[in-house]
Amino acid sequence: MAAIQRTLIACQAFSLLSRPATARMAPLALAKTATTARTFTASASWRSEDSAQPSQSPQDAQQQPASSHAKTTPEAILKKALTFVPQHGWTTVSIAKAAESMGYPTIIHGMFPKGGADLIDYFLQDCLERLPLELEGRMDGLGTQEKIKLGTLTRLGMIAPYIDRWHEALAIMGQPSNVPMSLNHLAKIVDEIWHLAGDKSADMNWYTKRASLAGVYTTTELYMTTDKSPNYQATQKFLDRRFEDAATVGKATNEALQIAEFGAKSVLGLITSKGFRM
Amino acid sequence: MASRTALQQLSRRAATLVNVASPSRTAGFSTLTKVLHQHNAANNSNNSSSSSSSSSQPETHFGFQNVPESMKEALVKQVFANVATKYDIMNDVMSGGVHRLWKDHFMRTLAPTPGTKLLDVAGGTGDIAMRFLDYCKETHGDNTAQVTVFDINPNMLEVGKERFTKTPYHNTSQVSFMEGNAENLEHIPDNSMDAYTIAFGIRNCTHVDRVLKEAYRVLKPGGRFMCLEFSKVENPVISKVYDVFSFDVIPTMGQIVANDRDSYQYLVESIRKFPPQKEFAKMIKDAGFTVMGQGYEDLTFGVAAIHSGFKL
Repeated sequence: MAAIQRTLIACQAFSLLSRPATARMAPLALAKTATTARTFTASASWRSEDSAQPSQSPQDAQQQPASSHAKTTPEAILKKALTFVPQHGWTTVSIAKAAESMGYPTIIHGMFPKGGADLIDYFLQDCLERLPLELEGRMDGLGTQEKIKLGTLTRLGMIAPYIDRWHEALAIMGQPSNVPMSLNHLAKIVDEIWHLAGDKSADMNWYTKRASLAGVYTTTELYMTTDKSPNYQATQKFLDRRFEDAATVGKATNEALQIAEFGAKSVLGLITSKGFRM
Repeated sequence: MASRTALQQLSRRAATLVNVASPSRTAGFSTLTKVLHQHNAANNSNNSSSSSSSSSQPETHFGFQNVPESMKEALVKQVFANVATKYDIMNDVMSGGVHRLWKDHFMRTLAPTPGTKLLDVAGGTGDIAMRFLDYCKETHGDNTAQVTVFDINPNMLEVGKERFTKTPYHNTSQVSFMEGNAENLEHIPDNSMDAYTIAFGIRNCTHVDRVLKEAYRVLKPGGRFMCLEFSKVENPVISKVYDVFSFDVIPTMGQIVANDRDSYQYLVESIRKFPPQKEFAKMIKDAGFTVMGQGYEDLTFGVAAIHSGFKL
């Protein structure tokens, strides 16, 4: 029993990851990139074209000419609005500008009454759908820990085009009325990463794995918004340290559980020895 | 012949009320009574000649009564001619001032941007139009926004015009008035409006689907249709209280304040005959509008609701 537990806990032991990842990054430190268009070129590539041209990155801008008045979807407006985020932030202004550029009156912003929060919601959903596509075939042959790390880096890379505006997004997501939406997305992100890494756990471990990754993900994301280092090296190192922490916590939890189990068993033994039947 | 009995009842009720009505309001009553009498007479003559011919014309509801479709417009017109001068004060009395909050919220939800062209249908007394122009001025410092106040009833439009004379918008291109039927906006070109609002008006229209179709036609692609209307209270406890209030309190207050029980009796009855939130949202969708989420927002437990649709 203890052996199985240890194997499962090992899945969370990210400490092994840090060494090879740092080694891989070492040569990259030499390649200095302009801070305005920073990219991750590590195994989890933060695609250069994404950062260089944030306005076109997430998906190709809406190509449909507004004059045709073919039925557009509300999503198309939000997709277009993302291209205005670096300039106008996660605001109704970005949505109104997008509508204007598509030939619609700006009054259409009322379609998204939560403004910035609706735009963020769309962006996070879009990221979630793109993650498996970006990771397709790139996880083959990696260990579970490496897959988790690759997934996390790839997902973090998706916010790179909007990094100068991402602290605003985090602030909007932290508003009480938006907290349910934010937590829901966080749960989806960590679940997707574990799922893509091939996790099939069906016990309490399912929760602990996701909870620890959620902690790692959010702290690293926050760190990334203040990271000015080329290619986000500081963020990558920060992520490595968080994985180490998570492993330590996992180990500590495991030991605590073992002690508790031992204690409980001793008490049970004591009670039965006194003649009580359980 | 249920309709005839109901109409006769209403005529009788109106007749008794005429006796207690003050002379200044009697004119309105007798007109409403006269219209109904004419209808009764027509029905009677129909009955004498052929019993089936009275069903030849499709009927619609007028409050809890059924009347021929062709008559509803005249009857509604009469109701609003009766209430026009007291319309705003009665709204305050009946809703405890809450209708102002609803309308403010309605305008904040619309959140017009600078230069918005609004068609405010059934907007006779200018409540929505005034809020619209004020919003644009206060929020954006904008004086290019335009509103057309559209109403079937000249009496209501008069009240609105009078109200605008005291504002800086008077005699500017920002506000204009137009008399006509919401089911036929023939003088308004296709794809010409950014927004279309109708507040507490659509339930009085004979063919709601035609109103929606016209709204869709005059809106630009990307334009917004927004409707503020009384709706259905789902909570059973509040619904009971609300029923007592609407059927016992409001008509009585109508009699005391505006000296006109029948008109207010019609107003509360027409609220119950209007389709509930979901059904109306579906009608908006059927008219071609894109509806976000459930398509409506309940105000005060669903006493009123804001419906919204976009022409994409």
